[in-house]
Amino acid sequence: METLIEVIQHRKPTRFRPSHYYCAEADALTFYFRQDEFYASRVDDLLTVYLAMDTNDLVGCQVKGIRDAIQKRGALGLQIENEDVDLDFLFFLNGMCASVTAKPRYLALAKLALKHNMRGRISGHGLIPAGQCEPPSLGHFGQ
Amino acid sequence: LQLTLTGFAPYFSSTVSNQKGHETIMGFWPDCESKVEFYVSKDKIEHLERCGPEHVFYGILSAAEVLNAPLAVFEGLQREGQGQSLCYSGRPQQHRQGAVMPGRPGYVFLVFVTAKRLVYEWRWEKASVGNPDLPADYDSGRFSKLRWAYGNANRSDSTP
Repeated sequence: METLIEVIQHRKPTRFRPSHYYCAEADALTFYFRQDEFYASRVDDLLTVYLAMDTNDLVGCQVKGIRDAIQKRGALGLQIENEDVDLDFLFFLNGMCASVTAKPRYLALAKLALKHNMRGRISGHGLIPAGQCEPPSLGHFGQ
Repeated sequence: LQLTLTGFAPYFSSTVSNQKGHETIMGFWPDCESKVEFYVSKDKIEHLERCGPEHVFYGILSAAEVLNAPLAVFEGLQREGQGQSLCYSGRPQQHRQGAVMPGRPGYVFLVFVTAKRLVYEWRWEKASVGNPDLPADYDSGRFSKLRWAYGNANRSDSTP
């Protein structure tokens, strides 16, 4: 049987482009804005930022609790289903409830999401980044 | 809580099999004598292959090594639905496309796994100054408890 090393080494990622990926099982949305090697730093329970190893620049992040954020959005009368929407709203919504020290991180990420035109579509599974296929049925991984 | 790394972590030989939408790798599970299967979403692997970052794509190799030979395993992430998720901490020696070198000084590699053994995140974080095998804020309440630690098998007391 093929080893994991062989599988990965036989593949080569194509050229980097800013992207985001939603994991339904973890209900977490990951953004990659730059390809620098990074370390993660938790801002609060909902946000972890990725900082470049060499410069500490903000190069990505992981946002958790997406389903809850979508519900908040609906409570504000902003419910939209099956249409691509800008994802900066996640940072604005979560940032509203964040601590004073965390707010600047949320604002910086909202700007980056806008700059890179990060968009997604709200569905029954949570959120599908534009360009990402509808996640398969959660099957036995479902919460 | 005192942890020491007393020797070279054994080289891993994870195998992969195709299952519905997931790659399978073998790894260590606390309180289990034999290795168990972990799952990585094919969709996520393909996304990283298509868009990068390259170091996250190849980080799967480091994640597999940590799942096989962790230094510590925490249980319970402080958010809804993740109360039984696990976080593996380690210092892998596999980097990039399989290059073998010591782990980054001052950092640990964390691998996050749901209770159903779905691997959904892997990344470097700064290490604790007092316990360099653990993440810097391991005692901040982000985890419910330390489920297992190298040299303290079956330990399940609460994180201090």
